[in-house]
Amino acid sequence: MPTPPILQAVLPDDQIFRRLMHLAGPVAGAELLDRLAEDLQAVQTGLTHAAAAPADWLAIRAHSHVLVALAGAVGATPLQTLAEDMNRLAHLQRGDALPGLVAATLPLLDRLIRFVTDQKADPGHKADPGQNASPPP
Amino acid sequence: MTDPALLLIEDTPSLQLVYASVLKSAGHTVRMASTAAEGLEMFMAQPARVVLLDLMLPDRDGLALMQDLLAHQPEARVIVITAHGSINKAVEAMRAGAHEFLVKPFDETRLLGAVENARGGRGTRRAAAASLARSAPAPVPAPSGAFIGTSEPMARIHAKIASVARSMATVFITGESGTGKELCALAVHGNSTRANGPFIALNCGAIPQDLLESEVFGHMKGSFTGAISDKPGAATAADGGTLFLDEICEMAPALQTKLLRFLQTSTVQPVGSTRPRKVNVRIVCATNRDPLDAVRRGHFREDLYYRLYVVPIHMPPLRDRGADVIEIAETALTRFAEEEGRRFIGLTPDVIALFRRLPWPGNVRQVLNVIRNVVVLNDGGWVTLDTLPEDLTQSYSQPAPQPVALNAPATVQTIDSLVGMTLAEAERAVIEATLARHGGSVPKASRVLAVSPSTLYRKIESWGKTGGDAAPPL
Repeated sequence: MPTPPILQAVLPDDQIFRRLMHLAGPVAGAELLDRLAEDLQAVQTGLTHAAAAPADWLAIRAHSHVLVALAGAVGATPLQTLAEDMNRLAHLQRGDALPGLVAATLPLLDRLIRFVTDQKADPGHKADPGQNASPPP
Repeated sequence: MTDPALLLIEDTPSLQLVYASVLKSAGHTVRMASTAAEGLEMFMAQPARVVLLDLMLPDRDGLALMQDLLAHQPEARVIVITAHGSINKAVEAMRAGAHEFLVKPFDETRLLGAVENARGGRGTRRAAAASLARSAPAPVPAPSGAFIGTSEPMARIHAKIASVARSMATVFITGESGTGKELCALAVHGNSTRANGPFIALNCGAIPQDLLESEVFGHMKGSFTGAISDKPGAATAADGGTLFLDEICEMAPALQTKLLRFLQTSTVQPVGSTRPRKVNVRIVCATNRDPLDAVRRGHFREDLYYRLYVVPIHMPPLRDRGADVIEIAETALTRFAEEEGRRFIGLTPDVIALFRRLPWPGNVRQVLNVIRNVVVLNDGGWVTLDTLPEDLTQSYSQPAPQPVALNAPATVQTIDSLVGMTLAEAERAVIEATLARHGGSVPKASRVLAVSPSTLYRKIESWGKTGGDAAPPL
């Protein structure tokens, strides 16, 4: 079944991701994927709990802060943008907009975790079936 | 002994690995800590010259940790990493002595550029910079005018310059015209470890906007009509030193974007060139306007403002510097008399009293001009009231300052007419009368009222919102 466009958009930028893996090298690259998966899962769990009423704004700030950095590092720009919005929201403690933002963020985060896990299992796996894998610059 | 390895303090394991991978691939050795406590312990055991520090750590505020690191090893260069949206925290860190800040998410070019700068530049420059960093800062030549004076406001300025000079932090100097903003920039440069490098000053308000990009970033031969040879811009010329951008608020929006990019990447791309070049430049900028007001009005980019407004230094107007005016006048008298081959004894008590009373709207520059005038037009002896320029004595020779209202036309004839008004109404009446007296010129009225033009514009705008009489013609 083809990947729905909204989920395609959350996949990391192939070039950025491959560049990162190239810099890390095969050994550290495998470790990086392990840690990435763990850190993203920790954010997922943390956000799910923190966003449940009443919102734990401090925890949301901390988790969204990490998510901005992780999503940005692998080139998952739409997820990074959502995390930035959530971080801003946590600073303002605006509860009204939180459920919608969390609902938009968590599926994309889940998709990114699956992508990283797939990479662990099959390092040759492409970021997007439609994209050509160009060699790292 | 200082460890050449970088110390990375970051609590998210995958981010630790991301930073380490990039740094190692560029040839750096990295030690890693996951908590503030672990980082401090590693630093105490073996201080690092460059520290990459995430400000958000699980066990302690990163800023407090940075202060401990710098207290133990003042030469350490700390690059702080902060989240998008927490720029204020980064600014706070820069004021507390951080060398540079990076905003998450991670950007390979910016990370390596910041580390490169912190380590002292690239290639052959590295050895020179390291040697510079080891030696004591070059003494600042005693500047004239603005930096003469022992008043409390100036003592604070000197202390601030001394404390910020060591850092790479951008310094944003504000102050009225003639208060010595460029001398302040020179003092920052002269007290820094890059004192032996170039100091390049560029007045953004004096160069036509269409030439400004070429002046700042340079151009290649043939890139536009009149570009008959390659020209390095001010940013390249300042490599290894300081680039002083005066009247920064006058910079065109398009160039502001390029300046922001330059600040983020430390690379310049001359007009017509396809290849960027990395430079190591400290930025000091200045304006006589209120920069935040320029941001509010949409004349100045907010992100650029936050990038530049790291260590603000406000040069006090001369009228707030007490007896400094006398010291400045006497020093200038000695110097100018020597230059012109005249013999002057000093200022008479009348002149001293007058100088203390005058508001000096042109600040130090005005005092220097007055003294130059006296020296050129008189043979020597005492500087008396008679030897001063006529317009100076005519305007201000009254024994005590008179209320503005007494000289203002129509709307405010006497001080009595202000009695019964609210303070806001009285203020408005005085401002309107002053504007009327100066043909509606806000800059002229602002000089007389000793406020910045932006303050007047803001007030006029607020009257428009609250209704009432029409604003005076501008």
